[in-house]
Amino acid sequence: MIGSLLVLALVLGPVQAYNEGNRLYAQKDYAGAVRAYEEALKSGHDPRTHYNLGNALFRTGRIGEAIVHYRRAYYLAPRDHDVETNLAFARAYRVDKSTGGSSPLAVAAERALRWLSRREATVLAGVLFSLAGLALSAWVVWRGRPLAAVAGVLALLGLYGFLAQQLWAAEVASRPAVVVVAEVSAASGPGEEFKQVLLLHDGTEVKIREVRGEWLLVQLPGGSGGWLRQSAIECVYL
Amino acid sequence: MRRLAASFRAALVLGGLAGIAAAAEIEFTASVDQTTVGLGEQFQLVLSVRGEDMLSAPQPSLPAMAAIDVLGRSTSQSTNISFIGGQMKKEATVSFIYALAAKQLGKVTIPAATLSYQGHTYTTQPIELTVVKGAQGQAAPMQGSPGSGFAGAPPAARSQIPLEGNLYLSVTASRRSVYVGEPIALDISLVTRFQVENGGWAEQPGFDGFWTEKVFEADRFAFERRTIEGKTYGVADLKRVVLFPIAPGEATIKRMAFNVAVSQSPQSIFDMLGSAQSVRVDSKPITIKVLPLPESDRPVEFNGGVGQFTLAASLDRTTTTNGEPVNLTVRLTGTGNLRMIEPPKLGAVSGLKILTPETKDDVRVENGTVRGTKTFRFPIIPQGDGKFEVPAVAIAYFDPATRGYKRLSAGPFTFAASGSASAAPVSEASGLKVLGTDIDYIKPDVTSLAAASMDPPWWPNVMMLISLATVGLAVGYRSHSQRLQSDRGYARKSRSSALVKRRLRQAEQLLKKQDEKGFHAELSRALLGYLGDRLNLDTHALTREQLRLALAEHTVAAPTIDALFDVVDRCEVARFSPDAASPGAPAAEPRKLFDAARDVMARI
Repeated sequence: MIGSLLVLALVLGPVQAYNEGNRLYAQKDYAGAVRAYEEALKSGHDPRTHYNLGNALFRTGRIGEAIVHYRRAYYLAPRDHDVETNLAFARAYRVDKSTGGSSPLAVAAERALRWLSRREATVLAGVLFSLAGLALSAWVVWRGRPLAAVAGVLALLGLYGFLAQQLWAAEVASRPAVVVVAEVSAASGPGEEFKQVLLLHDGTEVKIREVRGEWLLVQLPGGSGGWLRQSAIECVYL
Repeated sequence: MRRLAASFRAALVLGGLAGIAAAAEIEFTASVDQTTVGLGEQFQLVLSVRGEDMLSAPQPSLPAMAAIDVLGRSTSQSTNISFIGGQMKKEATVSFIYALAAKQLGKVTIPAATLSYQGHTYTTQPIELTVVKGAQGQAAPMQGSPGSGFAGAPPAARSQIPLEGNLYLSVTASRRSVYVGEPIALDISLVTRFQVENGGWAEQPGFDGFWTEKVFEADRFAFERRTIEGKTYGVADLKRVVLFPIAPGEATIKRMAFNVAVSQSPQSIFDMLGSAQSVRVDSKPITIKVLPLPESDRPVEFNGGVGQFTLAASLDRTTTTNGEPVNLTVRLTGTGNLRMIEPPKLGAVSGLKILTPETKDDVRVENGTVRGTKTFRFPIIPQGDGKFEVPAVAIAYFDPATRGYKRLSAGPFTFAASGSASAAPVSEASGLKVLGTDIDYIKPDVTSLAAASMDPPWWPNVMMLISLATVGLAVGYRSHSQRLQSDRGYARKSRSSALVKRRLRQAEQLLKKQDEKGFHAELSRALLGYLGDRLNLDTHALTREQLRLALAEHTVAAPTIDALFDVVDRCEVARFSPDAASPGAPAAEPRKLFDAARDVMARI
């Protein structure tokens, strides 16, 4: 295994490592594919690599880690239907079922805003607000309805991008993470001596509320939570 | 007296002293494997913590012990998981095992250990030990009591009978040739014709290559009278175990040694009660021939079982909702190597997730036979709604009696799931039958990959800031333009700087041309014009006094006003006085006047 890692690191670039991962995946060598995709990710984040890595992890039974990489792929390419499908599929394999539920209106609004990735939303908001600013400046100086209309349309589109960007920023700021061990119990305090209050399983998605050394206070969508060791979870956003 | 003391000392019950701290949530106990130990010899202290929903126990605190060395420490943990009312419950026992050695003879106490857990402190009871001289070169310590020698056997003094053949360790294996996994009963006894006071293991029995099931271990001598080859012996069982060989080939039960203190006859009139002599007795190694299990006809369902078993399996429910797991319980009951049997393999079923089973052993030894039940519980999670079938569970085992394999099976089992979180369709309205669901396939090969950061780019924010600044500038420009048109004073003030610069340049040009009259006229116009523009005053229409008052109202300082009028007056004099210098005169005075005018303008 160390030899194959060395070969991956020394001989293969990210593209070759990615394609090697695809070859191993097709041969059902999923563990080898995981190593190859991880090597490909060392040079930067590509949604396709995260997606394929999620698939390979799912095939090896590492549901939690698969969810982490599907979510990273979704963050980078939210309009990719495959990513959305496999994320939902992996979530269905979790032992712990999600109890959080949102209203249909909130879900629709979130889907509309999540149509753009955070990068796209940031660029769109920046460019459109800048153009709207220039159009507004021209209108201030020269006046004229066409200028005002152009400025208004550009500002509205820029606002959409800005809201999408803010939604992603809030998501990242909430520090989401996923349980990546088969089973772990959360304690009522940051230490082994505290009472075990919650049993979590591979793939359960949580949010990190507080960090104390190697212990993290995590919260589930329903509001319950507890303290876990850092090694039991993996953060979605690096 | 000495013999009596030894009897009391040995009468302590092996491992029976346990400090128990009763508590609502956890139980904390301490025990030792022997209460009479040899000086410098290793013994074991076990601190056990047991509790519900406690998957990790805090570290107990063992106080410093002056008379005992701590040689090492290890932990072991066992967990029992149960589903009650759909809720998972866990009960865990964590054992902290300390290897100790006493370093002082006599009575030694292991003090109470303490444990802090969720704000409570638990303590065990102290354990008292008797430390006797070690086995190294002399009498070994013995746990247990000789009682009164061995009952019914003729007590004999050491000096009357030779040791050879009259004191030995008997190790008996029920069979010398077995299959892998087939049990062997092993009895270890002390056989003697002497009166024995106490004793202890010099070399503990070791069973490398075997899985061991302990049946009996003596905590005191209980001699029975037996006749062996015409002689009467006292026989005390020391240990009885059942061994299961792990691998084929030759497995050896190693030599073991036991130290006993044998009574001595009185040697003189001063030794009325006699004394004890330490004697070491060794057993011989025993070689067991372990036959491999037949390769031919071995069923694929074989998972290590050797013996005679029956199989039972059942689901705990036939319907489930909301993705709750269904438990398939498989029970294997019978005699044989139950602890060595692996879980049966369940094939993958589309739409079901079958988790790793929980295993529970309920094994006991009856009449030298290991029997009991091994239970495997498989949690099965439906991934969608519908009716599911779990295929039959099959287990095969090797029966040494018939020297062949036997296959057992139970099932299949069906259950219905509804209200699952992920509604995996079983069929569609179109009539197409969905055979199963799976993740979408991987993305194809690429020729390039993005090397993006997870963080968004920074430059759009800079663009937005520049754009905001542009809007601000536009608004400022618009406001300035409108005020220029509507506010005359603002307009005059706005243009005053540019105008005065132009006039001063003009004055300088005139000075260079040595046109002093023109210079003074232009300098005076520049100064008064600047004054009028800055303060929005019609300076030409005002008298000197009116101008002074107007300047004072605009908070122009009196020295500045005086300096202003001084420059104006000097310009007037230069322009209209007949003594004014003619063209071609030195320009030193006009230069000073020019600088004074600039100074005044700077102060207004």
